[in-house]
Amino acid sequence: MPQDRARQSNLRSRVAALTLMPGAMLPALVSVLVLQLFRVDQHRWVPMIWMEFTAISALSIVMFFAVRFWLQRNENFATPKTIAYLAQAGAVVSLVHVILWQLVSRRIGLGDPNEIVALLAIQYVGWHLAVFASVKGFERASLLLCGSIVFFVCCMTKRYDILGLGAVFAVMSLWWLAGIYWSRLDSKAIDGNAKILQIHGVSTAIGAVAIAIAIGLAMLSPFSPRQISIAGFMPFSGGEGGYQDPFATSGIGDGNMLTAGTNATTTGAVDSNEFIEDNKPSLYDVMMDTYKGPVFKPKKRNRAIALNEIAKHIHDVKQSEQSGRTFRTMRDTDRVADIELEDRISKALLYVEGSVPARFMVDTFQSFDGWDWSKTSIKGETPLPPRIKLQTQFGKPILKLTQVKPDYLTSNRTHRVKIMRLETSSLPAPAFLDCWHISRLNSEGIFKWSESGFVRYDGEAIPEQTLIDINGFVPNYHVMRSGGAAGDPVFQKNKLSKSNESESAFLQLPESSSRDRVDALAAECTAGVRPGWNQVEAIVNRMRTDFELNPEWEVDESADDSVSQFLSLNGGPSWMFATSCAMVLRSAGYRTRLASGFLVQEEDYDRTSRQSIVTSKNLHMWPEVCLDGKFWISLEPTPGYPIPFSHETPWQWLVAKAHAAIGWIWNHPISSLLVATAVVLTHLYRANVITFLMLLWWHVIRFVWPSKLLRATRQLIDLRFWAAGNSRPLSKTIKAWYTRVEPNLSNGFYDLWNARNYNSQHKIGSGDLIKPCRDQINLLTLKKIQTFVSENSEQETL
Amino acid sequence: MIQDLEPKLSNEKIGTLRDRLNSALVGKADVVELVIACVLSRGHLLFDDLPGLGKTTLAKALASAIGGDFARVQCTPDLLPTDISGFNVFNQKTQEFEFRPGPVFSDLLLADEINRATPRTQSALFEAMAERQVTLDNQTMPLAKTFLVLATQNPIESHGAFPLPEAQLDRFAIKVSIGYPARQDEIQMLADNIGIAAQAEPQQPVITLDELARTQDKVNAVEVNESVRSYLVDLGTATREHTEVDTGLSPRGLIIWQSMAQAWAWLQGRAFVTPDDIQLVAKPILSLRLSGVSNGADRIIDEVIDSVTVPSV
Repeated sequence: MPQDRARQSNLRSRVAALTLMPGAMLPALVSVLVLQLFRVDQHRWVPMIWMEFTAISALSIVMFFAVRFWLQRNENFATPKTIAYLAQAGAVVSLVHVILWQLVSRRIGLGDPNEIVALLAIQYVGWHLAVFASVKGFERASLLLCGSIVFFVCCMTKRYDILGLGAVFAVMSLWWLAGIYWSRLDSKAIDGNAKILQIHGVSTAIGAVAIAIAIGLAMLSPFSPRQISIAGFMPFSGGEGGYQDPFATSGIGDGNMLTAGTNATTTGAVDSNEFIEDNKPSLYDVMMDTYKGPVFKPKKRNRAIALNEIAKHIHDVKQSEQSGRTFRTMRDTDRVADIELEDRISKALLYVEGSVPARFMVDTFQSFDGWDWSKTSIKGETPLPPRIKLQTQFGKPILKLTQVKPDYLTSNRTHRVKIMRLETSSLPAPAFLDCWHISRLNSEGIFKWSESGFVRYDGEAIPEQTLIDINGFVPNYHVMRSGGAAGDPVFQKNKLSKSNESESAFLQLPESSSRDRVDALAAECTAGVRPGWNQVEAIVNRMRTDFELNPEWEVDESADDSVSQFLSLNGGPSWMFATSCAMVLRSAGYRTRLASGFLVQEEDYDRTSRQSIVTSKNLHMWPEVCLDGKFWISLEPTPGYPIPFSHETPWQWLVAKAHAAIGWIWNHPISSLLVATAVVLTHLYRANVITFLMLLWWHVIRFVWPSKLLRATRQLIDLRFWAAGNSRPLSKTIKAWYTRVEPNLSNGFYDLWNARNYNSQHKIGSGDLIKPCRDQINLLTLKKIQTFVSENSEQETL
Repeated sequence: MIQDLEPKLSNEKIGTLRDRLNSALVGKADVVELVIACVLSRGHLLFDDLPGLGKTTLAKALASAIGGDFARVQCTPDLLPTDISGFNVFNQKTQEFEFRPGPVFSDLLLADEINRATPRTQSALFEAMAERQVTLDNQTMPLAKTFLVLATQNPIESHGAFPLPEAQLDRFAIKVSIGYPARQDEIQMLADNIGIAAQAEPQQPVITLDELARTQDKVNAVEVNESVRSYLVDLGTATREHTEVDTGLSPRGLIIWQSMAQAWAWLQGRAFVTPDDIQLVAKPILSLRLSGVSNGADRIIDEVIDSVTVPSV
């Protein structure tokens, strides 16, 4: 009966609508893989993950076909609304089953952390929606859920396979978005009118998609492990029962880490071997191990460059015996000589929590004699020593430096430092130290301001495992470049003239043969540059660009001094960069000192313990300059090392980048002209360029995949129509659309196209395709299509 | 190979039929092609146009070209259903009722000016057109396999005219408007009519009923790929969802659309239907069926077609 056939046809269309949608299923599958790979790192028994994954996948497929079968049997109920309800019910079942399964699996010790459970629930819902993507809105919802999972996991991992899959997902999503855009374009072009302006919109969309892909990849790539330290992102992180994420911030966990004492936040009992070692290295030892004594002039002089006070005891071991037990009050130099830092069980000198890169200054030097740095008296020098004052904030004792904050320090940055194997009395402090807190420390006399210009512990060394919360100001380079927020060139005002040189230890320069070259370099760098921070930046930038880092540098005995050798070789190790930069800055008239300490970088971040582990490899030296008579500003002249952290507003960042771009254009006029010309020409002839590239692709397909030549031909001609501003709507057949331009087109191509698409009995060989396809693309050239579109537009206007 | 795609058909008869119709109606090759497609798809034809444009001429030419019984009914308001279907007469000699078949029992029925018959009379054709049978006094009598109704109607006159109900319209395959011929064709037509006798000699049929039936069977076997069927269903759904259409395409309409597309593909020498075929026959099929559309049917049909994506691999 016709009615029955019609009903069946109608049903078939509904059931066909339930066919798996690859557009949504593929991204969903990628997100599933991403999450399962991420889960591998967290789970106690990996095979369980894949077993569960297989079971759930099979269940989903069975459920899908079961629903489909049910719809076929109960066609009266198979309305779109019913299907939508079914899909929603299935999604809820997916959600509930994950939770129930966790309740079961946790009983046997194979559960997941709460975060993973939440992700799994979202992921299965997203997957379920993808299966029923034909229901209106489900595809979008599925992509949104899956995208959130992928983004979340990519933020939490450093694994390249997961990040790669994340990039794949991003590209697929963007492709999907582009598809929506295209379909909207098509719907707008239904009236068949020429859309001359359309190409601008599409060009913009393509550009936007390309930029979005670039940003997406940049976000997903592991440029900064800081991105993975999103703390407390889940409200249910932590908790009890053994399934809390060890990285959760809402709870401490089961106490394992507390006992281990390997976390900056914990101070529990310690009984592991790594803490039994008592040969703690000082900064001096670290320098020795790192540079093998580079600051000594070989043979001629053999004296230490730094840390005189700290290093003195190395040669003077004091030991006493009481009641048959030996107590050492100083280090055993023999054992230090025996044990290299690399051989130690625990290499951590410090643990640091907080954003990186960050510098922690431990010592400073003022005087340089051409080979070595040393400390000198700086009484009466600026900056004047601040006072340490005990304050209470939020019920906690805080030690604060009393100093007036200048306007170029616009924000704060806090770190938590745990002293481990480093034997030091200096407070490892960031630049612009403001205040610090040690639990239960409520006496301001414990720390003193050192003559060398830093805070030091009033004892031999800060006890191991001391936990210090340190807060420092963060400079704003933009304000500094503009000479202060108030417009007063404060740096210029405080700049000392060279006549003060003899009066300031921070302007001391060694009398050696390099002096003239240093002066010349300083003059060259600062010529025409606004005095103050801009000149300092110019000098630092010159060091970063014109000199090369060479860790294998060896002292040349024939050289007059180390700076001379550095300038001759156009490079050297990081500490020579610091030294030479300091000399040039002093030559330019800026108070400069050498700071030594630790540079903590992104690669030092350990996700498991959520902290950066500072070892001897982090030893670093850098110059510090004082411009306003109050604060020392850290500089980084060594290329490849991150410049000190600065806070800038987005607008300031944009302005700086714009200035940099203009500067680049100004400095590279020929390249800029070529690029601009290329851009303009590409824009003017974008249609030709795009279709030409597609023609090349057509030839590639002709040789590599000849069986796909029909589709490639159709795509090429469609692209030509698009480029001419007359896109073929998806509702128009190619014959109907193409023959408008050339009514006498041969039927060969269309016959092949129709047979390939609509005739199940076709016997078309790859060899039959080439000639008709080539004839087609030769007849429907871009120029011909453009002429047709233009004439049509004129006729419509008339 | 392309040659392999060509159906092994004997097109000679159809070519002759085409020539006969084209000579009867000058300059309307596209209309003639539609008419032939409709005949081959076993569909009924409704000519809808102004008076004097050749509706009856074309219908008569078609009737004469196809062999078999031809019957003509000039529809008037006083026409009764039994004037079409036939009736039982009491035979005094045999003392029995005898059935006197009406014109519907012919192979080709021309219902001229069909909208001048009352709906009651028009309804007599429902069963015959849809099921090719007539039921009278509990007796069902089959009609010829190639039974075809050609009807004409004048769309502008309302006095004494009864618009065809939707149920009746749905039983026709297509509605064809002939339109005015082109200037050159009209000149040629005038030339052709000089010296023609008032009563032209009856012409021989060009195709027998058996040949027509066999050709119709071949047309019915033309492949309609699943993607094309889905496309067709999507188009049907689009007519139902269009805001300006009260009642969209019925499932019977979809079947007729498919048959017409098959016939069109066959006439193009193809053994399979393409979306081009579907689109090309859309207007004569849909213009008959989109109820509630007072004007702008062509626009709505264009919108319907534009709203559905053409399938392709």
